[in-house]
Amino acid sequence: MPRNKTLALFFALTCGFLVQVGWAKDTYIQQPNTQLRSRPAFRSPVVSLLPQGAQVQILAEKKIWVKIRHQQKQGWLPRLAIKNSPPMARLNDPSRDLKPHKKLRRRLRLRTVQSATGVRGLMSGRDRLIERAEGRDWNGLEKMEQGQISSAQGKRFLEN
Amino acid sequence: MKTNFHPLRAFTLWVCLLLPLPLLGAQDFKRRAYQESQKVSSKDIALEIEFGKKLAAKIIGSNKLLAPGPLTQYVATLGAGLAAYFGRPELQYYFAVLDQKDINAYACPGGYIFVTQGAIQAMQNEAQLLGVLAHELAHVNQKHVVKALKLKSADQSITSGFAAIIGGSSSSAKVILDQLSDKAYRLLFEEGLNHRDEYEADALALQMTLSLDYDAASYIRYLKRLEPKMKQGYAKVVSQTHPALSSRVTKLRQNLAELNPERGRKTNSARFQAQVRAR
Repeated sequence: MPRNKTLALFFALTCGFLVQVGWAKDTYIQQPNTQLRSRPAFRSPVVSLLPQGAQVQILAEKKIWVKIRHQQKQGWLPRLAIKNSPPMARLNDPSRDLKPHKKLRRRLRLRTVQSATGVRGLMSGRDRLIERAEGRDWNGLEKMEQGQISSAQGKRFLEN
Repeated sequence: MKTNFHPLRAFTLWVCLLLPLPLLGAQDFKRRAYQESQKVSSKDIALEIEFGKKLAAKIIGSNKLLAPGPLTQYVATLGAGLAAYFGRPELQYYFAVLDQKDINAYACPGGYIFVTQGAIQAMQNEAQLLGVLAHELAHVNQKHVVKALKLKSADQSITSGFAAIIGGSSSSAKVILDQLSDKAYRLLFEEGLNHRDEYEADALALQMTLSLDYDAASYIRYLKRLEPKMKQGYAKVVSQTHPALSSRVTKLRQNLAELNPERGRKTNSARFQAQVRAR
């Protein structure tokens, strides 16, 4: 084989290798305990539970389902269960302090105490007035958050 | 001088030299780029949640929540299941029922989803409720409200758009956030989202419903059932804020025909009726 042809072949192979390893699209499982199924149907048996963030290889696609491989296991998943970027950590977990209104209410309460020390009942009245003026019901939002159901319970419910 | 050229040796040498390059270079570059993007995204998401909370509190302030009971528990459980499969992993989703006769459902950024009691009463089965919740979940997943308010800047980050101002604790920043959530409220209740976003949410809802083995045609039938109710004045906000029902139904039928799902999918009518009656 002439030398320049061989070099061209090596160059092409190298480019292919770089594209495959460096720029190939990665696919990740988005939710914890994602069910890998034996057939492209929700009612088909679960063959494995995949961890959140697992990198998978797409083998085939069938409408809204994709066939994937993870380690030695193969199976089907809904297309919407995977993405090309790894999942992010949960941010609005109820245990995290993301309730600005609580801080605001603490400040308001302090101000009320400073301006009208000893007048009990005025604090809650003032809070209510401010909330009404804003048109926002923070207590209602808190009730809504308290009524949340766990993912596991929700999943079980859908399977029945 | 003549040199002996061995293609196999040269190939092995090339591979040995280049093998670590993509692994150390490209993969490391990708990893670092991802870590950097995560830092920006976390700020964006935290902000989206704070914004969504304000909007949700405003919705609850203007439209009473249905008192806790079997119906609210049912909607929350169905929604939690749906979000466990198709929600954004960084968000905790919350579902509630608004004590309102008007037929509609609303999605706030950050994962706060509402459906009116009037909408539930217009439904016949669980597949229809799941379709509506999936439509709203799709709005959250695709960040339709955030995009409609043009909170994203050219670099696709909302951080540079307004997080810099809001991130501070100054009172003026809070006022801006309040004003934006008021604007979002008007968007949901008066102006409506982009029609393209509504069609996208419908298409995604169809996919989610089918993936969970529910009868997706039920969702289309529900939209069809709304037409006479709209004339009676029970779906004022839907008619004001969404594309015409006939065009949504047509597009959904096209989508469903393309997916061509097998028949005999579940509707869970009995469970739905029992929960609605038990409210």
